Amino acid sequence: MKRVALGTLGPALGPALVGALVVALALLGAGRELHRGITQWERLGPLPPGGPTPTFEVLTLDGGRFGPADLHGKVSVVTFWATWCSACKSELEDLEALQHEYPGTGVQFLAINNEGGGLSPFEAAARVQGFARTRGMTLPTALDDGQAARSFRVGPIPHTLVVGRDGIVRHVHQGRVPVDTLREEIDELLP
Amino acid sequence: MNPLLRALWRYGGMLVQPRVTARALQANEVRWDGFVLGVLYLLCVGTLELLRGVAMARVTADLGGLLMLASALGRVLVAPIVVLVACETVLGRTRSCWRGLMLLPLLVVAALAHEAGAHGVQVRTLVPEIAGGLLCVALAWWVRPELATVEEEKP
Repeated sequence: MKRVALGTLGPALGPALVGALVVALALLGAGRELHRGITQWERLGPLPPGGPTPTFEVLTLDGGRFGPADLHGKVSVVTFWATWCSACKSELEDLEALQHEYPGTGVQFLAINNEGGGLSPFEAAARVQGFARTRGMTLPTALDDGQAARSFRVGPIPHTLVVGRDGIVRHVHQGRVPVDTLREEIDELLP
Repeated sequence: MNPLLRALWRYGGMLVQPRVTARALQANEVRWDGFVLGVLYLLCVGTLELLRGVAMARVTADLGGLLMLASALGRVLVAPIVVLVACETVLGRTRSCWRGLMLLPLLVVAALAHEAGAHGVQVRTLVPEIAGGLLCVALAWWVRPELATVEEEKP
């Protein structure tokens, strides 16, 4: 029976098999991606709100170190950015203005630069310092070699987090976040 | 031949004997090929990227997250869209209905590169898209004389 069925296909059988192989190959790839997605689901997106800040350490531009312990006792707005990211520049301008609205109220801002592109720490520092000087940036800035970005599972930038005084991540934003939203989120965390 | 088998024959035929297959095709049977091949490409290459976009949108739960999801979809689909436009340009207006079928080489190259990556052979970013896209345009150019022209319906 099988032979007869295949026989009726005649010369079409070869191309049909090749076509089936192409479709099978594509579906195999889709299956692999789906499997990876399901097994890594919890780590696919950014660090979700509701949990403590992960372990990280970044070097501030003034030569200090900044880690999770520095987030305790203050509401913190942390943003990941790079000099080549135009949305980050707008975000930094918003944060620059916003920080002046909270002088001495227990709110701190930190802009963590993750320049990428295989720059050495010295080159990255020089580039960020130049950027800050040109724009008259007073926002506290730190340099990340990629470790902090990995800890916070930062994907596209700007990536902004609002951390409560207890060190718990309260809000996570990817892409530019409206300044009114940030203001509301900060205000609700202040006593 | 049933439609599924006919579609498989079409896909395989365009790869192993393009001109012979093109000569035997009818314009109305390739109507959904662009969609089918596009979806296969999206699933093969972009499933993880889309899941990542969904995970982002789930965490951020705001418009930014949805934009990131849309951006993930756009990043995956940009290659087939550019290839479709290029193939349509090569085929011309009266043969533009065949453009979807020309995505086959892109799908094959992308799927092979994906499979190679799964086995530890990393292919440089964009190389499969560029190579596949060039093959698509070459295929369109090669089979163009054999494809029937379809005049647009006048209103």
